[in-house]
Order: sequence, then structure tokens, then C-alpha cells
Amino acid sequence: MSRSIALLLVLAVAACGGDGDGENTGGIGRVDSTSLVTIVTADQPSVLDPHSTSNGGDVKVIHQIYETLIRVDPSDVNRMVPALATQWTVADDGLSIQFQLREGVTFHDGAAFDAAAAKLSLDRLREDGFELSRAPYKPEFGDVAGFDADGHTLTMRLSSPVARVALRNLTMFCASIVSPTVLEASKSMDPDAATAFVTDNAAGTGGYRVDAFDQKAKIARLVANDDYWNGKPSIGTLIFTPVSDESTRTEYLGNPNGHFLVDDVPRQHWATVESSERMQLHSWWALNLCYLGMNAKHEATKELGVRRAIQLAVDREAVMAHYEGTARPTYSLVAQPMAEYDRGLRVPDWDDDHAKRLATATKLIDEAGAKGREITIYYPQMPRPYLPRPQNIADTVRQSLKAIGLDARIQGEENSVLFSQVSTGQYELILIGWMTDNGDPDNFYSPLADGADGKPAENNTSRTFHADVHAKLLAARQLSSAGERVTAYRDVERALQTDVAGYTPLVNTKQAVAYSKGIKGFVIDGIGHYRFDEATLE
Amino acid sequence: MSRFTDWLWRFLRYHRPALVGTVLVMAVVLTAVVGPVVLSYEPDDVFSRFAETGSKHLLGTDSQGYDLLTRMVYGARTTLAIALVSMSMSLCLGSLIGAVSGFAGGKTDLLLMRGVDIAMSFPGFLLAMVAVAILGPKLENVIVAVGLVGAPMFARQVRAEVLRVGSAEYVTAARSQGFGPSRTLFLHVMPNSLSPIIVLGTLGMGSAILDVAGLAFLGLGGDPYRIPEWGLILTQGWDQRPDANLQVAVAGLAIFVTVLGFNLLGDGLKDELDPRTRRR
Amino acid sequence: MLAYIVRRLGLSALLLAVVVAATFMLHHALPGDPAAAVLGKQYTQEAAHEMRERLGLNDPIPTQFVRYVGRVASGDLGRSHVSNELVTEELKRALPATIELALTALLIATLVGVTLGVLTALRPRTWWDVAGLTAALAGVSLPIFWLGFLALQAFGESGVMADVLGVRGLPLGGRFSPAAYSLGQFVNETPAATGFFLWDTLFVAGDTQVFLHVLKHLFLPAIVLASVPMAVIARITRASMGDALLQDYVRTARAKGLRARTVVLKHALRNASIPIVTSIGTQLGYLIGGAVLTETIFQWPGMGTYVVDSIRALDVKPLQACVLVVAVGFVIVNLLVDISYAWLDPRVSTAGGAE
Repeated sequence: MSRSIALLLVLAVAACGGDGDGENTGGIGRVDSTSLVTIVTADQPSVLDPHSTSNGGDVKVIHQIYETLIRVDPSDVNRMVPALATQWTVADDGLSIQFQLREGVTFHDGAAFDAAAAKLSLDRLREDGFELSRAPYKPEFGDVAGFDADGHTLTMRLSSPVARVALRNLTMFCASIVSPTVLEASKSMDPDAATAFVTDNAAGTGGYRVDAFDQKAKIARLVANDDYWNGKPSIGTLIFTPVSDESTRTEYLGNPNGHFLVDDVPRQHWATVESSERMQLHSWWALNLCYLGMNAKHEATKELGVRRAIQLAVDREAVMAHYEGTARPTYSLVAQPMAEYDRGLRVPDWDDDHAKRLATATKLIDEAGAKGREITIYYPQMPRPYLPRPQNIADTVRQSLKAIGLDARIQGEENSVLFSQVSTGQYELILIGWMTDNGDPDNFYSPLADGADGKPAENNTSRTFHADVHAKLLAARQLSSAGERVTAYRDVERALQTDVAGYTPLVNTKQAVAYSKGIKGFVIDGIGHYRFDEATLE
Repeated sequence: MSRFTDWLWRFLRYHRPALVGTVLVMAVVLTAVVGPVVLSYEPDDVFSRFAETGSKHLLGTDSQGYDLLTRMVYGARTTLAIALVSMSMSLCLGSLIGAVSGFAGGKTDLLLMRGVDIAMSFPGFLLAMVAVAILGPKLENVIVAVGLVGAPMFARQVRAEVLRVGSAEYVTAARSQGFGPSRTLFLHVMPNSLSPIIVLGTLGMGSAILDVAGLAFLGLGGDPYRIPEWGLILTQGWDQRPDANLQVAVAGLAIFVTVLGFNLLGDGLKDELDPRTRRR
Repeated sequence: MLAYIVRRLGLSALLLAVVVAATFMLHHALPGDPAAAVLGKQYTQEAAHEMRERLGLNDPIPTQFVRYVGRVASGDLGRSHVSNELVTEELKRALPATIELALTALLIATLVGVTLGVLTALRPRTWWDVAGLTAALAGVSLPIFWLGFLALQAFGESGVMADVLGVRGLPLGGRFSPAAYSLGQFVNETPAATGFFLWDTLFVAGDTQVFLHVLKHLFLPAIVLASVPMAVIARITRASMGDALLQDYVRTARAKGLRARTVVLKHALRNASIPIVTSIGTQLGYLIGGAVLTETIFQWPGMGTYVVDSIRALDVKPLQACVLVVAVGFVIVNLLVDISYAWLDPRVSTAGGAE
């Protein structure tokens, strides 16, 4: 009875809604759709202060408003190209870099861009003369001694010859140059108020300026900057709207009204987008990896043989099955698209045949007397781009460990629990990943496999400090020739895998954005940052 | 014994819904006990992922390559066990509180019953969620949380029974003979208040299964692969829809049928055992 | 009656005090370091210590408690460390969403449940009765998320029924489709908007097309959420109507020759309504619990998803706030039930009239 009433009601409602949602949904606040692109992101923008945020939702907006001195070459992630700096030279001793800055550039608020303006921003992000409530990238600039400004010439002084790392860091959004007028005015405020002030008065040199930023709805509307040094952008308006729910976000893919860019499209929908008439997919191999961290200090994984066995046993093909064809096996800690990735590297006793590897691994386990040992694989409950289905992937890894005679189990934890677990070493195995912001190999090895003063770094999942590796890393960081760097980092990787065996790299994954086919010529680099200032609409 | 069989026969004959309930519950119990013996696979045998349904895998395989039928059958065992443990927890804890409260009376009674009132005036499922958040998302903790949340209902019922039975003549007699309160409680009061507790226990099995499954659905159930529990199996399928729609359908149906069985049975028992509604 | 209500008020105050204390303890009971949660990728032990200092977690517990009570009393519920937004702002969006869903579900449950109950009570011991009772029992035995799944498979976009009928089917989730995202802007930017979308679209914006759009999104979740209360209300109605129909005054009324419908509706139902109203009140408790699951299935941006998200992320402030808000809601609902109880009980109202 209740069912039949319900049924009738459903049919009535469904029938009257048969015309579809995609069409005009009425008169509430319609937006002019000519020369407009709506960018749908997973994360919300809330702070438009590049020096004081690390949130992905902010970064996407920040890239349209502000610019850095140099950028990652969109066609080759290993190269850098000019932006606000037209050229740069590294001194012979490697302890300073001189930048020639672009002339005739003005900020959105009318302030002129020069070396003094650049210095102010680069000082602020390192909390040099400024105090920030959060300075997430300050540690990355630890080797910077200071900046000297002279007209349109800026000199960066380094405390050790790590020019390449320093340059890569300058491509990060956090090194964006903010209007000096705004920064000077914010200087006297308390840190929270200063960040809010910079957000409210966001003024950079980028192709777009903030027209409206609705803090409540987290919707940002940007308009083309008439005075942009590279010519006024062709697309008039950008709207950034956060849609945290995955399936709601994908609904935009079929939206016939207007032009869209949809970020963080779930992997299972990529194929649909590729075959769609309206949308296209831009995908690239991201600078990331998913790996299994192995705690060399934990009772259950303390023997090198056990960790070596796990390295051999893990079935990457089975893990890849959870990525809908958007992952490839990876064998080194550094991201595969990077020049320093070692294609030939395999752990000792490697055999291309998985069954033979399992046999070797089983033998290693037996020798260590670890047969039937209870081992827990911890994993984060929240999916990440490199770990889309954590629970399933963890279980697949568990299957491999079971095959070599370990009594493995899996345990999901919330991120903050995992973070403190890692830094205190309370785990055997951990399924985790890493994504670089600057594209330098040091950004993988320093936090994930190194440490200082004889202690492992917070994110070093092996919980081991290895003096030899540490020395090698220090040396590698100072190399500037591409060939030498490749050799040096291969050496590091081999030492780590053989002597420490503190991780098992699993896969490198693709990332993608979907966008309307009518959007032409927008720029996206290998790290995944995109800009609209050169794009046009059809 | 024959008195019991007579009673059972009459009960099932007059309570058709209870008969249906008994059959359903017996079927699930039978599956749980005998099923694993009959099956040819173990729950953690790995095959190809998302294999079609067919003679090799009657219900196909899941996203991890496990045989779904095997996991469902083992799931009957774990699901019933989990529900039984957490319901027993509610029962023991609730009975203890209720008995103490009813027997002690006065301030103890007032304090305990206020506590029960407060606990019951708040959505139990939400409480269980918060409890699991505190304890950590593991199945053991889910059992504890569901057990705790179910306790107040038993407490209230047992207290009422103690008050009812406690004033009965044989109890007064026992106390006047100098038996201590705990002895009176266990020897005289408890046995005479059994029937409403049996009813609540039967209904409690159903709600425990639903609560455990609900928590699993919210991702608070822990490792879904080592312990095949129906709620976890369902959730696993839900995360992989539409590829695993069959898995969701089957696991949900199993939960529904089992809970319905317990509810029908409990409802029939209530009618039968409650002197006020007993069939004339 | 007044004394009763006063006593209820006392209990409510006690409940609230307990809940405030309990939510305070949540901060320390939850696993994971709140400082680590705020810091995320930037976590180091030094930074965590500094952050704990900033968050006041190193102060003595009583100091923290007093500060917490003070903040709650002044309406400061803190910030979510996930979105970095004020919890009160997030509640302003989530609360109307859930209330709208729960009230719609309760309306459906009451209408269908009472009708079903009356119909079965009028035909006792027939197939009607048995079918009705079994359906009611089935209703409370259904895993609600499974029902949601089935409903989506049948009536959702490109679902089975939608295919058969050649219509598009109902939306799979959310309160409105992205195509109408300006609706979200409207609700956020229009001062007159309440956050109750049915109201906002019909009365504030006066746009029936958008109203229908919103209604379509509300429909499936409301039906699914209504299933359990519907079953319970039907059973209670059946039982109390059954009793009422056997009472002398109903027989008298019938003997007087009053029309059957009048007897049923005016006399029997009124007298049966006390337990029904009480059960409707208690069902709100269920609705909150059920809303958590229903909202998760239908991605309804209400309190349920808010609670689940904050539990998953161990986001303490929103979790504390949700528990507090639910508790306050409960107190209010329970009081309302008590008042309607007094209003419906004929003895209370005659006594009042005589004075």
C-alpha cells in the first residue's frame, strides 16, 4: 500500500521532470555566459595569500592572479622558462643567482613591479621581516641567505651551492610576487589579519584580477587584466566554484551550457570524457608516486631480509588494476617523469617473472624466521590522487604478503593519526604517497629518505638515518649539470634500496583535467598548474 | 521438554508471522553453521577481479577477486556472531544496571535511571558513531559501541521487571528468610523476568545487525576483507558501483531477510509472552 | 501538567549540561593530535608543539573547560581544521538542509503511516491487516542505505523504472544540480533566503520551475528516510485505533447513527492520537540517525554528511557542534511533544476548560 502510493508519487515527479536538468533552470541569478569559463574544483579557495597557504583550492586561483619570477616549462617539466624574470645567471661558485626582471610591469593596484617588490614577497614567504600565521614553504627556502634589489636586478644569495633546488623552488606558487603596497600595509597587522588583508586586496601581476570573492560560498570571480604585460587575456571572466562531491562534480561534464574546466575528475570517468562530444581530457603523468613505507625500526620488519622479501613480493600489476589504466609500475622513489628517475633499477634478486620473485621472497622470509608473522599495513582512509582506493589497494598488497607466508592485515587511519604514527614510528608498513611541488628530486629524497643530526625526517617512513645516504644527498643537491645529477641520484636510490630497504615504490599515476572543447590554448604544466591568460574561446 | 514442544507447536501454529521469522532465522543459522563446510573456496582465495556469475562463481567475484558467495556464507557466520556478541553486551550491561537500579531503589535508582533517560533521549546511532570515532574504526570497537548503545533499553525493561516481580510474594518470602539481595536477584527475580528479556534480545539481534552494517557503511567498520561481515561486503560493493551492483543487492537482501526474521520472531514472542496481549 | 513540563525542563537542562561536558571531552578523547590535523603535510614535532600551544591544548584541563563553556555560551563554535571555516557558517548551510529533509520525510511518514494504520485497524484479521503489519515490520527491518540503493537503481537517473517509462529519472544526489549552481549563489547572497530551498524557491524567488527542480532532488531521499518512521507510525496507529474502535463511546457513537467516517475520524482517531503523536515525536530521534545514512547515500549536504565528514577527518570542532546542535534539537522536540500531548489529551483539556 505505502509502496504503491510511493510509486505513484515518484512517477508523477519523475514524469514532470522529464524535460531534464541540463536546461535553463529558471531566473535565479543567471550569469552571462559569453566569454566565461567556470572552473570546478574539489577544494575550496579561502585564502588568496600565496605566502601563507598550501591548500589546492587556493593555489588554482593564485596561479591566475599572481606570477612567479620563473616557471616550469609547460612542454618539459625538467626545464624552467622566464616569467617575471627575463633571464638569470648562476654565479661560478654556485652561491648566488642574478635575475634580470621584466620592465614595464604593473600590479593590479597600480604599483610598479621591480626588484624591491620581488624582494619584499620573497622575504615575506621566508618570514624575513614579516610574521605569518602559517609559512608552509619556509623550510624549502632554508638555504637562502637573502635577496639584494637594485632597480630591475635581483640577486639571490645562497648559504650553500644548491642553485638548481633554489631555482625550482622559485617556480612554486608560494614564490608569487604580491603588490608591495599591499604587503607594506599588512606589515603592522597581526598575522591572521594580514593574511585576510592580502586576500581581500589581492593584487598580483597576473592575467586576471579578482572581481569578487564570496568568502561564504567560496566562489571567486576573476576578470581579465586590461594592463597585462603579455596582452589582455581573451577570455573575459573566470569563475572558480568548489564542488567537493565527486559525483556532483562529474555532472558538470555533461553540462551543455557554457565552458567548463573540471578538476579532479574521478578516474572511472576519464574514458567517458575522452569519448564525449563537448569535453576533452588533458592527462599527464604526474610528479608523484605511491609507495609502501617499511619501518626498519619496528619489531616485525626489522630484518633486512623481510623488507627485501616484501619489495620482491609486491605485485604492481595487481595494484594497478585499481587505477583504471591510469597508473604504471614505478621502481624508484623519485617521480617517473623526472630526468633523475632510474629506468633500469630493480632491487637485488629481481626477476621479471612474478612467480620466481615470490619464490625468492618466500625463501627470504623463511630464512628470517618470519613465517606466519603478523604484520599490519596502515593506510589513509581519505583517497589521494596517487591513492584513489586506499582500502582496496592495501588489501591487494596484503594478498601479496600473504602469498609469501606473512600474516598481513590492513588498518585504515585518519590522516592526522597517520602523521603522528609515522613521526613516532608506530607502524610496520604504511601505504602512502608523495607529490612534489617543485619537481626536484631533492623534494623526494630529503623528506622521505633522509634526515638530520642522526635522526630521520618526519616523513621518512624507514625511520632510519643513513649517514652514507645523507652525505650522498648533500653532494647531489649541489650538482648543477644534468648528467651528473642523474648519476648521483641513481647512486642514492641504489644505496637506499639495497642497504636501507625502507620503501617499495609501487606506481606512478596520471592526473587529468577535463575541459570544454571550445577552450583553446590554455597552458598547463607537468605539475598540473594551469593558466588562462593565453587561452581563447570558440 | 514435551511441555516446551507443545508450547512451541501451538505458538508457531497460531503466530504465522513468527513461523516465517523462525524459518528465516533458522535458515541463516544453518547457512552459518553448515555453509562453510559445503563450500569449495576459502573467503580469502583470490581469483580474477569482477568475474562474471557462472558455475565457477555463482555470484561472481568482487573488486579484490574474492568469491562473493563464499564471502556471503562466511559472512552469515561473522554477522550473526558480531550481532550476538554486541547484543549480549547490551543485555548483560543493561540487566546489571536495571537490576541494581530496581533493587536498590532510592537515590541509586534515580541516578541510574536519569542516566538511562539521557542516553535514550539521544539518537543511538549517532552515539555509536561518536563512540567508534573515539575508539578507532575497528570491528571490535564497532561491536562495543553498538553494545553500549543498546544497553539502556534492557536496563529500563529489567528495572520494570524487577519492580514487578520484586513485589511478588515469593520474593518477599525469600528476603524475609534472610537471603541477601544478590542471591534473591539471581535465584528469584531474574528467572521470573526472563520472557520480556528474551523478546528484547530477539529484537535486539535485528537492530544490532542493522547498526553494525550502518556503521560499516559509513566507513567505520575496519578491515572489510579479513572479516567478511555483510555490512562491510555491502559497503565494499557500494564503493565499486556500478561494477558491483550485484554485491550490494545480495548483501543488502541478506541483512534484510535476517533482520526481518528476528523482528517477526521477536514480535510473535512478545504477543505470546506478554500476559496482556496473550491470545485468548 | 505544568509540574510535569517543569520537570521535563529540568531534565532537558541536565541533558544539555551533560552534553556540553561530553563534547568538551571529545576534544581529548578523539585519537590523533588536533595539532597534527591542523598542520597536515607541514607536520613536525616542533611545529605540532607550537600549534598545541596556540590552540591552548597545553593549558590545564579545567582552564580549557571553562574557556570551552564560555565560547559555546557566546556562540563561538570554533573553526573546522579541514575547511578552515567557522563552524557556525557551515551549520547555517547544513542545518536547514537536514531540517527540510527530515520534516518532509516526517510528513510523508505520518500521512502514509496513519492512513495505513487506520485502514488495517478497520479491517482486523483480514489479509489487509496481515499485509499491512508485515509491510510495517519489513519497513523497520530494511537497511536504509540498501533501500536508498534500490530506490536509485529503480527511479534514479537512467534507473530501471526511468528506462521503462522513458523519462530521465530522479537526480542521484545533492540538493540541486550543478546546472542550477546560481541557485547556490542565490541562497548565499539573498538576505531573505532561509536555506530551506522549497521555501526560498517558491516564496522568496517565486520561481516554480526551480521549485520543482529542488523538489525532485528532495523526493527520493525523503521517501527513503520516511520508510522506518512510516512503519512505526502505521503499527502504533493500528494498535491504538484497534483499541479505540472497541471503546464504548465509539460503539455509542455508532449506535447513535453517526456516519462511519465521522466516527472513525472524529472520535476514534482523536482518542488514538496521543500514542501516535508521541511516536511521531520519538521518530525524530530515529530521523536524525537515519539522516546520517540517507544523506550519505544521496550526498545531501546536511548535518548527517557533516557529522560523517568530521568523524572521518577527526575534525573536532564540527563534531562537537553537531552533537550540541542535535542535543538542543532533541530537547526542543521533546518539549513540543509534551505540549502537544497535553493539548491532545481530552482529560487535560476538559480540566482546563472547567477552571
